[in-house]
Amino acid sequence: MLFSLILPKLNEHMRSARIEIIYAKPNNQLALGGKLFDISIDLSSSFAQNCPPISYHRVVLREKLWLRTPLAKPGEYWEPDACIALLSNEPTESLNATIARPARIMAAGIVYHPEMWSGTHA
Amino acid sequence: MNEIPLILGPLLVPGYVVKKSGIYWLYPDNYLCRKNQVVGFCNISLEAFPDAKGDTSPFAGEAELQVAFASPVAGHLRIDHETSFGGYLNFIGAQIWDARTPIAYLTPAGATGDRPLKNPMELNLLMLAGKLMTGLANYGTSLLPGWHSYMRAWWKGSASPPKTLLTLGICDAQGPVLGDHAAFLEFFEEADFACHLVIVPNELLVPCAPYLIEQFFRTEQDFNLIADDIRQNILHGPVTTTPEDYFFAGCLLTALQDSPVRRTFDIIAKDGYQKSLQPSYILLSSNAEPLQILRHKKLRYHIRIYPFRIEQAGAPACRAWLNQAFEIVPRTIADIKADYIRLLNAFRSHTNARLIILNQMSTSGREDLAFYMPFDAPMGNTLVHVAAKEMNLMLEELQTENDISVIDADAMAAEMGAAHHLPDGVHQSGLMQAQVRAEILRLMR
Repeated sequence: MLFSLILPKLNEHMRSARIEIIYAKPNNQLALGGKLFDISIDLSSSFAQNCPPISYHRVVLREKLWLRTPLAKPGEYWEPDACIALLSNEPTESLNATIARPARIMAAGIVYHPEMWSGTHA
Repeated sequence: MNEIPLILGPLLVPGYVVKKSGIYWLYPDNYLCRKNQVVGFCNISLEAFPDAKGDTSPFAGEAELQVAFASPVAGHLRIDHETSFGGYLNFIGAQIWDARTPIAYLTPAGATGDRPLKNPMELNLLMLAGKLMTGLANYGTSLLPGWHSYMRAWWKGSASPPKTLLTLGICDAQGPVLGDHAAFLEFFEEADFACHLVIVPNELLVPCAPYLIEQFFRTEQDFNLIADDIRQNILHGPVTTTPEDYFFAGCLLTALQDSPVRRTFDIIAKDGYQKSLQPSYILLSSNAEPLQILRHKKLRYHIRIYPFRIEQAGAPACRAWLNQAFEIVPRTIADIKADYIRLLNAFRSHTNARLIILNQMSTSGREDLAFYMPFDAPMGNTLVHVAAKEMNLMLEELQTENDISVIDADAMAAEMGAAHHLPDGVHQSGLMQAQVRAEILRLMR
């Protein structure tokens, strides 16, 4: 079965998130609790602000799946509810198959770390 | 109608003629103003008497001076529109300060009858002063409009010496003090005692404890070493400098140079001006304390700069210098506590000011953590809300062991609903700012 990785809406004011780092490699199996990616959310992203309210979050898997194709890259902005990767429960599942459901994930606020995209490009 | 003429009253600065601009009125005619609500303001300038000896101005270095007006009683306002000249005349000190001519009229709330009141009433004058980061950053057309290295305010009519609150925090501390108009207006409307508020904005460097300690103890010689290093490695370094690099370097040097805790402030009080006020309270944000800090590899001083500031600044030579000259040093909560104690001891060696620290929001209704396996231990180094809880516990200990005050912003946000009132954990709603402000006022009372 094919599963979509949906960017969660982590704040009611969230309009987009920047992909800060992708941990998982394509065609690798991820365990329960596998790290997928870190994102940053700038609540003022629609227009520049002197002190933008930025928070950082890690998204991890709540089930054992294969990462097939990441659709997002570090540094890119994506809207909530967008599909940013495809996963499957079998490594050979066709990527043309119908998406069965969104993958089960959880997210938590994390402390900023310099390996993030904004740390290496600022 | 029972209208009371409102006058400015005297504004005396010995040795100077006070001049004022036309008045900006913040509300229309017939507006029902509250007691001590600022309704208008003007810019002022001081012109030295020809025989004045040197610069004895209480505002030396503060190029931005304004006076805001508030009625001492609530009522409906009728404005004398002749007081607003428009254009540049509402910007420059075009008129000598006139203490006696009415500038507006007030019908007190609930007043009845049709008898004009002859005795004028003096408006309460809120003095506003700002030291500009550069004399080039003077915009002039709103309340405290410039780009400041610090700004401050106090009621001119205070009979007793005011208590000075020095705010060195980030947005969670500055917001409640500055208020919606970014000019301290709500704080002064709500304060029932004489106070003097000073804010040092954090345009570039985040005011965390290591930076504040080093800034406090930095000698002229230390500063010159830093300035030389910046000159050699940014302005004459390997990367071609842009105008943005000069701004960045100038802003950095300004922030590193002087400790505001060592500064004294002069005010114009009821009878002329009073000198040398020192901070009575210093307000800090624990949100300013990072778990990783930048340390200069050679000169060993610490700074914290938000990544977005570096991105916004667009200063390529400074960016290259930051990457090359600094190393990232991890900090534990125990390190932060030790830094706070050093900071407390440093400040106490110079002032009796009491430290007030805002704690951190430590929960999120949006988190759905089922297990902690994906997060590296110790959790306090990875998960923001675990780190915040550890920070808040440390602040509790610090409060118990030392004579400081902690404002429980965490509890306030949880009670009010953080999703609406503290959506990112730092920037509060107006209602939450009012609650934090009430707590600051209670501690200062």
